[in-house]
Amino acid sequence: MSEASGERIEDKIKTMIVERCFLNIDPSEIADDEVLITRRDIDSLKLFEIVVGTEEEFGISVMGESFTVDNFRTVQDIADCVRKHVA
Amino acid sequence: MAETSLNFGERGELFGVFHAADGGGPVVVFCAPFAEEKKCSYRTFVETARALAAAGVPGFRFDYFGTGDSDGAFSEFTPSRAIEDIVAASAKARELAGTETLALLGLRLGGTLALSAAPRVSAERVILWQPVLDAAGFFDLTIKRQMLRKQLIAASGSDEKRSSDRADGHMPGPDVIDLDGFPLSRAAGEEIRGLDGARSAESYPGPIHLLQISHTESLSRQHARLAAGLGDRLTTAAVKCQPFWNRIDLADTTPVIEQTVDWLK
Repeated sequence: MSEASGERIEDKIKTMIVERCFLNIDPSEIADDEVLITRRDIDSLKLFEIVVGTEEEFGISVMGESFTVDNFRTVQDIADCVRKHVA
Repeated sequence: MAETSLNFGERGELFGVFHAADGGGPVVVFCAPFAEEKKCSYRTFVETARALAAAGVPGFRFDYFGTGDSDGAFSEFTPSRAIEDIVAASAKARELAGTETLALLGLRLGGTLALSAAPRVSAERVILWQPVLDAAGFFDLTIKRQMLRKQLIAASGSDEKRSSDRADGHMPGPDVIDLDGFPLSRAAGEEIRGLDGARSAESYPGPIHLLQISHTESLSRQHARLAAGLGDRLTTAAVKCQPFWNRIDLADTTPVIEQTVDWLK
């Protein structure tokens, strides 16, 4: 788990988002609570990349029947979702 | 170089474009990806065929039955029919290019289909662009992506939602899946789920070039596993490039085209 190795889950998520969505920004520019879809122009395809990236990065499966886009509204939402799945 | 559009197949039901070249290389048959991914990658296929022709390598782009300019409805598309179409396209490409040496180039599910067809058409080699090796996983993800898109539309309350909510007689029947506007038969969906790209790669005896196209230049675990299994038969390269097959916005595919020309010229 990344927090055990000293890196915040939120920071790891931000790096993943910047890489997978080819955003031309530093990951630290993304605020934990900003709405990604509106603030970073994330469309459904890019959001899907983030979902798949989250699964691969953290070795979890989030796309079950209870899957909802609300879990991927902000970096904080994604981090909460990750923590819930690895708990 | 000259480009000729034509119909071919048993009843002229398939549509293709031949890119002539005079370099004497293998003729390359382009195997398109699936549904929306085919739409988004159309231009990159054209640009690659032109770059190859400029390097002396002829190419043949075509539409599977039920797609593009070929006859049939999308609900008639099946992987097994698409493989037959690759076989027909290969024969036509050889005839048009005047050469027996043939290479298949496939993107995503087109790579999976190319691997299945390669032994039948005695392809001299296969070029794979970010191939689908786990077709069942790919199909499930495609369904989930659609689910996510519908959730976003529902959240936005857009006109598209209101339009899709109407019972206006255009809803697909029970044997058809509405895949982002592509009416895929359930039987075809099951057939896609049964494709096994990794096993097909093992069965094909010729050389394979695998181009990983993603956010990283490190080979993915899945591709590394395939490379370990195939040994010297597989050449790999990884380019950092947007997945242009599912992007509406501009993507620079120059590294993809350059690597492909380098492998084939």
